[in-house]
Parts: sequence; C-alpha cells; structure tokens
Amino acid sequence: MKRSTGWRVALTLAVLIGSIAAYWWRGHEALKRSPTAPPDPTLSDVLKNGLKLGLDLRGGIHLVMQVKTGDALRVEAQDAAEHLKDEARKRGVNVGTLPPATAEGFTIQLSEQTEPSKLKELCKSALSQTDWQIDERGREWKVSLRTPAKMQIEDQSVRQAVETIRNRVDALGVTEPVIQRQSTDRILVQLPGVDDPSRVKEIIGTTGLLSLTLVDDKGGPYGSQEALLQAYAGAFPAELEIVEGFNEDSESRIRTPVFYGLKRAAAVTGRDLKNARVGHDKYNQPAVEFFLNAVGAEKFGRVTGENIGKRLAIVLDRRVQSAPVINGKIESNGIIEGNFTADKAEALTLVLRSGALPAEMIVLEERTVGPSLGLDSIKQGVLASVVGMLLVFVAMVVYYRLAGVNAVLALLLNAVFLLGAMAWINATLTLPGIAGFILTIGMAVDSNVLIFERIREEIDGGKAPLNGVDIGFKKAFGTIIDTHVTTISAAAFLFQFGTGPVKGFAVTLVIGLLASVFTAVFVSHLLFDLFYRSQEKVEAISI
Amino acid sequence: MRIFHQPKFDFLGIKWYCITGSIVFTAIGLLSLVVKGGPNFGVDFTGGAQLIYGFSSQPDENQIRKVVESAQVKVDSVQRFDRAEKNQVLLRVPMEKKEGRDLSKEVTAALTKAFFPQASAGAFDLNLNGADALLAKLIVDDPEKLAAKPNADPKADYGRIAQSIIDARSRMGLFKTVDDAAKVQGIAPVTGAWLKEKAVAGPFTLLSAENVGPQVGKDLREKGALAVFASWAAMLAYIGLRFRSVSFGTAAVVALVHDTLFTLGLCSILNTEISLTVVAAFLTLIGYSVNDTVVVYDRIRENLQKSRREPLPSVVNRSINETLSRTILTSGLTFLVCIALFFLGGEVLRGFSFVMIVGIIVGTYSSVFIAAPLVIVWEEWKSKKAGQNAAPAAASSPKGKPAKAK
Repeated sequence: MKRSTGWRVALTLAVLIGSIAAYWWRGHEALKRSPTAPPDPTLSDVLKNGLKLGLDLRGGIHLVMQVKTGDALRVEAQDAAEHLKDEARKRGVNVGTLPPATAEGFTIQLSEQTEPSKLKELCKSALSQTDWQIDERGREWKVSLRTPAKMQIEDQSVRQAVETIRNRVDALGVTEPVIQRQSTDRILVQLPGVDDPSRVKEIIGTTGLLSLTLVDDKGGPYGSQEALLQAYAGAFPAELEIVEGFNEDSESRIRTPVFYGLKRAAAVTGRDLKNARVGHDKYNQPAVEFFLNAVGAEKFGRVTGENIGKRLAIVLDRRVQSAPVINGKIESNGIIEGNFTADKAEALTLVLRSGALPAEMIVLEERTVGPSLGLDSIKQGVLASVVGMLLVFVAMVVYYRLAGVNAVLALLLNAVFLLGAMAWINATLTLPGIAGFILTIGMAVDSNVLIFERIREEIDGGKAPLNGVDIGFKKAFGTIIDTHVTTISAAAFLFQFGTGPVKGFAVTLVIGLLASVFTAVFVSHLLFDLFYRSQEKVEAISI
Repeated sequence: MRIFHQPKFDFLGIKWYCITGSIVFTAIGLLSLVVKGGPNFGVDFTGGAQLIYGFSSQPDENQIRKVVESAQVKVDSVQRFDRAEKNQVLLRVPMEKKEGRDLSKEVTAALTKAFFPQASAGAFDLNLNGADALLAKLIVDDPEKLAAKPNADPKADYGRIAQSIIDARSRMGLFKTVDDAAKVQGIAPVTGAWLKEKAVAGPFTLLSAENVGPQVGKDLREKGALAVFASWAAMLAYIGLRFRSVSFGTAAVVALVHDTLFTLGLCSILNTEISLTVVAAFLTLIGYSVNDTVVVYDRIRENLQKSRREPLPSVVNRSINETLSRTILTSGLTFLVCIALFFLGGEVLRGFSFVMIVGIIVGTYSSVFIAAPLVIVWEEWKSKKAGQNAAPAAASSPKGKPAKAK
C-alpha cells in the first residue's frame, strides 16, 4: 500500500495536541478565576478544572421564578388615581370617591355633586390618552390601562426584576451566575456553588419594598382587625389601609400580631434610599440602619417635623416592622428593628441596597444540590465510566486481536477529542453528561465493529488482506453516516426538551458521536496503513 | 474470534410468532399503564417536592414522616436513599395546588425542631447552612478582628475560611461535632474557638431539594411527549427519504414505536419512576434502536442491487444474517457499558441506565425480528392487494443508490 500517510499523521496529531491544549488552557483559566484556588495549582488541579461542572455535580441552586406583574400594574393604577385626585383638588373638581386600585385599573364613583363634563375634562388632561381608557357607565367610571401600556409595564417590571436580582446576586459574590428571562414573566436563576437555598431564596425573593408611613391618629395598633374597625365606628376611611405588624414582649420576646390603620400614601419609600447597613437596636440586637438621599431627607424632614407626637410606621414588604412615636424632626436616617439575627440583618441590608423588586416573586421550580451529593455523583460516574470503557476495550481486543488494539486506540483518541472539544466550547459537564460520555464510547465502537465485520467479510470473500481493509472502510462508510444521523437527530430533540442536566447529556453525546466518525474512520484507517505499510508483503492481518 | 461464522438462520420463517409475541407483550405493558393510570411520573413531571437528607446516624423513617406531617406538610413517602450505610433519606411531598410554597424550608424547620431541639435561635448550624451564610456570620462577628487590620480584606479572607469549612463537610458527608469543623486545616485557633462557641453541628443536612410547581411540571410533561413524537417523526422522515420507500420507513418506525412502548410498559410494570433523565434515555434509545435497523436496511438495499433476480424475502433474510455478528457485538458492547452504569453509576443514573439496558435488548430484537420482516409483510400484502402472484415485486423496495463512498 503506497498511500501517503504524512498529512494524515499530521492532522491526527494536530487534533490530538489541540484537544489537550484546549483542555489545559481551560483548566488554567478556570483556576485563575476561582477565588478559592490554591496559589500553586498542581497537575491534578488543572485536570479537575478543565470542564465546567453543572449544578448537579458542583452543587448549586436552580430557580425558576415568576414575577407577579399584577403588583406592578396595581401600583401604576394607584399612582394614576392619586395623581387624578391631586389634580382634582388643585382645580376644584369634585371627583366623588376612588376605591383602592386593582391590577385591572381603578373606578371613579361619581357623587351627587360631580359634573361629568368637568370630570371628563380633568381625566383627559391628567391621564395620558395613549395609556388609559375610560369606560363611562352611569355613575361609575372604570379607568383601565390599554393593552400596549399594560404590556409595556409588565415587560418593564420583569426587566427591572432581572436587573435587581442581578444586583443582589453580584452582592452575594457568586461566580458565573445565570440570570435569564425565560418567557414573558419567568426568570431563570442558576447559582453554581451556592449551598444555602433558604438564604438565597430570601435574598432574591424578598421584594424589599420599604416605606415610611404615618399611622392615623386613631390607627392603633389594635390587637385585632375588628377592634381597629370598631375604632372608626364602621366608617373606615378610604385613604387609610390596614397593615399587619407585631408586638413584641420585651421580656419573653414573644410576638403577637397587631393591626395598624396607616395612610395609604407613604411619606418616603425605598426609592429615596441611599444606603443601608447593619446596626443595633435598643436591646443591642442586630438591626438595619438606613440613610435617605437628599430628596428623601427633605420629604422625611417635613413629614416628621409636622407630625411630632404621632406614630410613624416603618413598613417592609407590607408588614409593619415598628411604629415609633416621632419625637422630633428626623431627616436623613432611621433604623429598622425586627429581632433580626446577624445574618438576617445582613441579608436585609443587601436587599435594601440593591433596590426593591417591582413586584412580588414566586418560586415555580427549585432544584438544589448540595456539594457532597455532587462529589458522590462525580466519583460514581467516573468509576462507572472507567469500568465501562475497560470492559469495551477488553472485549474488542479479545474479539479482534490486533485490530481490536487499533479500535482501542481510536476510542481513547475519541475520548480525548471529546474532552478537548467540551473544554474548548466551554460546555457544561452534568451527571447525565457523564453517562453520555460513556454511552458515546459504547456507541462509537459500533463504527469500528461495522468496519471490521466488513473487512472480515471481504477477506472471507477472497480479497487480498490490505485490499479487504480498504474496501471494508469504503463500504462501511455510508452505513456509519446513516447510523450517526439517526442517533444525533434523536439527541437534537433533547436540546429543546431538556433542562440543564439533560442538555449536558445531549451535548456530550453529539460531540462524542461526531468525534467518533473521525476516529473510527479516518484515524483507524490510518493506523492500519501505518502498521502494515512497512511490511513488504502482507499475508494476513490480525482481525 | 467469531460469534457466528456465515450464519444461515431463517428469521422470516418465524416472523408471525415474533410479531404476535411483540404485540402481546407490548399490550401487557400498555394494559399496566392503563390500569395504573399512566406512567409513574417523578417529581419533574407531576410537580411536588423531593428532598434528600443525610443523617449522622441511622434515621427512623416512620418518625420522620410523623414529624413532617405534624408540621402541616403532606408526605407521599419516606424511604432510604442510596446505600444503607450512607444514612440518607428521600422524602416525597405531593404537589401543592398553589405555586410558591417553600417546602424545603418548612420540612427542614420541622426536622430541626424535632431532632435538634437544643438548637437555640442564635446558634449557627454548620450542617444546615452553607458557605455564604457562614461568611455573613463571620463578617458580622469578626473573630479574627480583621476589620481593624489595615491590610486585611475580611470578605476574601473569611470567604476562603468559610469555603474550606464547607468543603471539608462535603468530603465528610456531614460534621459529627463542631470540633470536626474547628480542626479543618488553615483555621486559626481564634476562629476555631469562635466556632465552638457560636456554632453547632446538627444531626442532619439537606443534600438536595427539588421543588417543582404545577405549571413547570405540566410544561415538562408536554415538552417531553412532544420530543418523543417529534423524534419518531424525524426517524420516519429520514428513513423514508434515505431509502425512498414507504414500506421501509413505516416498518422501521413501527419497530421503533414498539421499542418505546414496550420499554414504557415494562417501566410501568416494575414501577420505574419516569424522571427527566429517564425521558432522556428514551430519546437516546429512539436514536439507538433505529441504528440497528438502518444497518440491516443498508445491507438489504446493497444486496438488492447486487442480485436483482433473488426474491425479496431471501435477500432480506440473507442481509439479516450477514449483519448478525455486527448487530450482536455492537449491542453487546453498549449493553456492557450500560451494565457498568447501572451498577456503579449511582442512584441518580439507575433509572436512566435501566431504560437503556431494556431498550438495547428490545431494540436489537426488533431490528432483526420485527423491522426487516415487516417490510416483507407489507410488500406481500401490497402485491396480494394488487391481484398479483406472490412474486416479489420490488416496486417500492429501495431505489436509492448504495451509499456513496468518498
């Protein structure tokens, strides 16, 4: 056989060296970026870091959260209603009563004195016609958001939520987090290496909406909602709302729920916050100190100055944390008490600093894998892979003798290419991915078997040994392509179906099968040529 | 070494036994599916929660169930997970109608209250908290007084300490006592003392938590079924195009659907849980099982071109025989690999490798005994319908050229 082998050897070596180099480079890169890496990485450290591990192997948290965009819509509607009332007061227009807004919008209940034409005029000038539509039905007008405006608000609130979550995750110091918008109102959060599900969920999911609101003169606190309503003799004013808080016994520190009647319009909100840090309350328990910006301080100063002797409620996520009596004008800072533990207080400062979420979030899906389970999985997966590979190798050598050795070399090369390619494209190795790795070996050997069986047939049919090898490779090639197309296209469906671990499986399988076309056909043929070329006359080949 | 030397088995002679047998066994499996009201879907598809806890000593499943139920959390099952000496428990909680309940938090709180009542509110449980919470605690308490040192970066320094403590816990499984944590290499004596004073080592740790809400479960169920149907369709299209024959394409897909349904039925009979990875195994199996069929078909097409006068049944039978060694050997090797995965790959991959093992056996059987004979059945039925004699009309047999070699 006088075929040139030079360029084929060069190509094979180039791919081999390229794969090793890619793996090596990725391992060093990963170590450089890892905050917990040892200062002098050993060879095994580099090898361990060549592949990015999925959450199921490394440990970490996967969350799918839903933004309750209805909250944002309600706030928008409430703001519009307040604005309308303000304008009405300025112009002396009677608007009747406006019950609390909902996500759908708000209603105006016209009173006897309301002049519909004046109200219409007012609505036209105070509310943007492109955003709001008014449905006039007798004495009850419904004001609702138009669909484009609604979609814009929903979109914006999800985007803002992604931004806020990113700020909070960055503050946590997680490396390589994934924060992605998944569909209209879902957000995917993946935090590798984080092993504190409850703390992380608290930090990410806390709305963090702070408001400083005056307690009404008759606003309590009361021990029950009924007692509160009784104080107003059944006529609870519309501009007030009932908010739950708690009363804490200073001795036993047992909490009992209490209810406040608070003004709906907050004096200052978290938007005017400049900073927050952990401080201490009067019991020397951890508490959160907050600082307002210039605008907030001015507003806060005015409100506290005008209302000395009244109570001011510090409301966090619609719960009153405390409601101290205003002793004097306060401007820039305050304190949130709540019997926090040190890490809870720290978490709250982080949440306040990163800004409030535009709406409440709920967790639709949570997957947490602790680091020890991941370590176990790696150990078992690697053991199964090594044993599986050895079984295949032994079977091939026993069955095909020298040609079997050829196949083993091709398979080893296949494994190296697969690892190198995965490192190169920075693919994630997952536990099913390890299964994919070993399955690839089991399936890649199919190409070798197809070729070798064909060669045997050709030689049995009377072909000269080396001629039989060439014809065997040629004839098996079409079948090899067919089998690869079917397996790879089935794996392709895994991409669109799967979550992280299953996608990792599909990636490994597809890359491994592609590499196997190269190793089983090109490299294995080259090995035959190299081995038998040097011999003058080949009587028989070992297959 | 050879398994078969030029075998001459008559596969077509027993085709009706095989087809009948396959129908019966698949029907039994499907019957089991119907009786049990669908596959035994895991938490990924049904929604609900699946929590794995590791204990420092032998856990009592019944007691755990009682504790959790008394905390107003419904429990589907409590069972041991993985090898007995690992003291791990798998807890399943049925789906909540409402989204967003934090079940792992509630269950963990209930277990802490029952099994570790001495955990006072202020003490920090090293087995339940992670590196991040430990870091926050270290920064607030500052045992090494780093805040006062000019060159220290408390966040980075304590971060490294917290990480090495949690890494040590991962290697050990969980801390038996606080001393285990204080003894970790690189921990300064002051920090060790601080740990002993402020931290505790509870009797259990949360190893993994999966909590899937109803919406996500429904989405995954639909997506999984869609992926299976779509991959069937893709295989039909590919084989139909590649062999330019309706009978080949249909026969291959019938064999494929048979493999999938048979395996699904067996899973139902054996109560194997269908999780995300198991569905991944099903999709892999679909690709793999077509593989064998394609190899046989390729050979049939090649032989048809070589000997045009040989009747189709004889060509098909000869082709199966010629590829028999390859079929058995390849399947055998992949089978070996899956056996290794099944026994050594750990609990998480067991369902996956089980489906692969069954799939390989059934897939190999169906390629030889179902897919190729069905082509004959189809062609015979067609020629009978056309009023011709049993002469094997190669009318819709493959017309494609043999695979082009480079």
